[in-house]
Amino acid sequence: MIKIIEINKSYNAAAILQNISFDIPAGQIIALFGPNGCGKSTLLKIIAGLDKQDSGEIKRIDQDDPNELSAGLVFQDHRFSLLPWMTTRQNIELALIAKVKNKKERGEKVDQIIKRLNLGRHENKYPYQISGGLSQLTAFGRALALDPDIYLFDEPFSALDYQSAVKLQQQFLALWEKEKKSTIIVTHSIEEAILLADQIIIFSGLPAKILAIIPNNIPRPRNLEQLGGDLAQGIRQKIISIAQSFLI
Amino acid sequence: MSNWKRQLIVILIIAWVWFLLAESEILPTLLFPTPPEILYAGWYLFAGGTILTDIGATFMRLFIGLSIGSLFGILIGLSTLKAKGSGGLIFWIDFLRSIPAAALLPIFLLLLGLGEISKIALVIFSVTLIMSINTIYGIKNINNIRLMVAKNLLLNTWQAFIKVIFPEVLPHISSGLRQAISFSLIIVVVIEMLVSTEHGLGRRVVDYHLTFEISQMYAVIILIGIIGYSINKIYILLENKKVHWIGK
Repeated sequence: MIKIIEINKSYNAAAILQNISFDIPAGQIIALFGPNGCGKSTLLKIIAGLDKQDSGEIKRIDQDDPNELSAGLVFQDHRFSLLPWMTTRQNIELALIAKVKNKKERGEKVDQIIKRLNLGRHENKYPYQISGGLSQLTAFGRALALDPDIYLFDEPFSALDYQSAVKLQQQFLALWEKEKKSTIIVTHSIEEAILLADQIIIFSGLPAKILAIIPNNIPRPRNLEQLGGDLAQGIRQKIISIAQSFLI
Repeated sequence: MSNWKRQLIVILIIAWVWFLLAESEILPTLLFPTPPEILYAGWYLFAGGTILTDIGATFMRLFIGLSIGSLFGILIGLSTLKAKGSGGLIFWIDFLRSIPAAALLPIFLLLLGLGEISKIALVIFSVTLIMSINTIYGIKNINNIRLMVAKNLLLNTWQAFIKVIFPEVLPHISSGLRQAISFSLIIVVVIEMLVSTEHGLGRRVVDYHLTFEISQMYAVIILIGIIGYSINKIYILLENKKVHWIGK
């Protein structure tokens, strides 16, 4: 379990995050839902160690390893997060350069990931030669290769068209079912949050506070049809009633 | 290819009109030799063999100036990496760049003498300015997400530089090099025309002008044009291959 405890952050005296506390139980997907520019991405950066909080801490419970939390980030825009001078294969391999020094061993690990993601036909193509969906899948592959404690996804589906987004969500869920790794996903889509998350955390506008934490008990493995069921409808209504302050 | 053919037709039409005007003595024949005469003069230059020495001399100045200047410029540019491309350096580069390089020639001649060194030094100086400003511009434009990716993938400073930062700056370095190539050809020819030297294409233009061998003079000028155009085309081909992700 990872605990986020009373995180505060401000930029130039303007408060961005205010007393953000929540738990990420092992093997759960947490969706962060809230208005644009409310600091959700800042929170992800802080958890990933790319930014520093003013106060508060991020703790790993039931872990002997005192090392820092390792995080696998997937950004919204694959055009920036993937490196266009590298092929699909090289982009994934980049995640292993720091950890696996042996070249042959590294190559085998990349092979495994490419096989798991079914990217074999595209491994030697450059990002600008493949679709947005495949690019974002490559970005997932890179996070996978990192084998981190937690996945941090910053709106990974929102730069894609609806069809690619739905397809990638299914691919992600199938991958996730196998390793059940803790994941935080920032999203603007209620449907996405209901489909993916075990808990949906609703943020207010700036300065961001947590308005509610809504559990999502729709049984797994999940599929699109469940989004039409009563359980989903109940969660949807809860989200909308809480989020009214910034939805209307 | 049809575009190429169209250009050829345009050239033939221009040559034909020129031919008619020169042949009918509407243009003074002394100043405007006919295209066949220029072609013959060009053929004669190559048959005599001396023009190859001139081409070699010009190329040597161009090549040494470009290589050393690029190296200096890129290194100076990269020295601003920590400051993300800002700092007092830009003012000085911009100021020096605003002085037409040819106007600096007397200073170089006074300091370094009339020999080969002062000629090449001016090329190095100009190329250094062009390359450093372009490299700095590239550093200013480094995408923040790519830096976060490098950090998230736990790359060390050297790995981040080689795999992420340098390729990210490379399109700007490459476009600087394209400018530097055209510019240094101008500088080399101008220096050869102004400063006494035995060989060089600029020298030939002046010599033929002074001895009033107008056909030869035209032939050399056209030759310089063809050389400049070819270098540029070859460079663009190379750029498309090596820096293939530009604009994608």
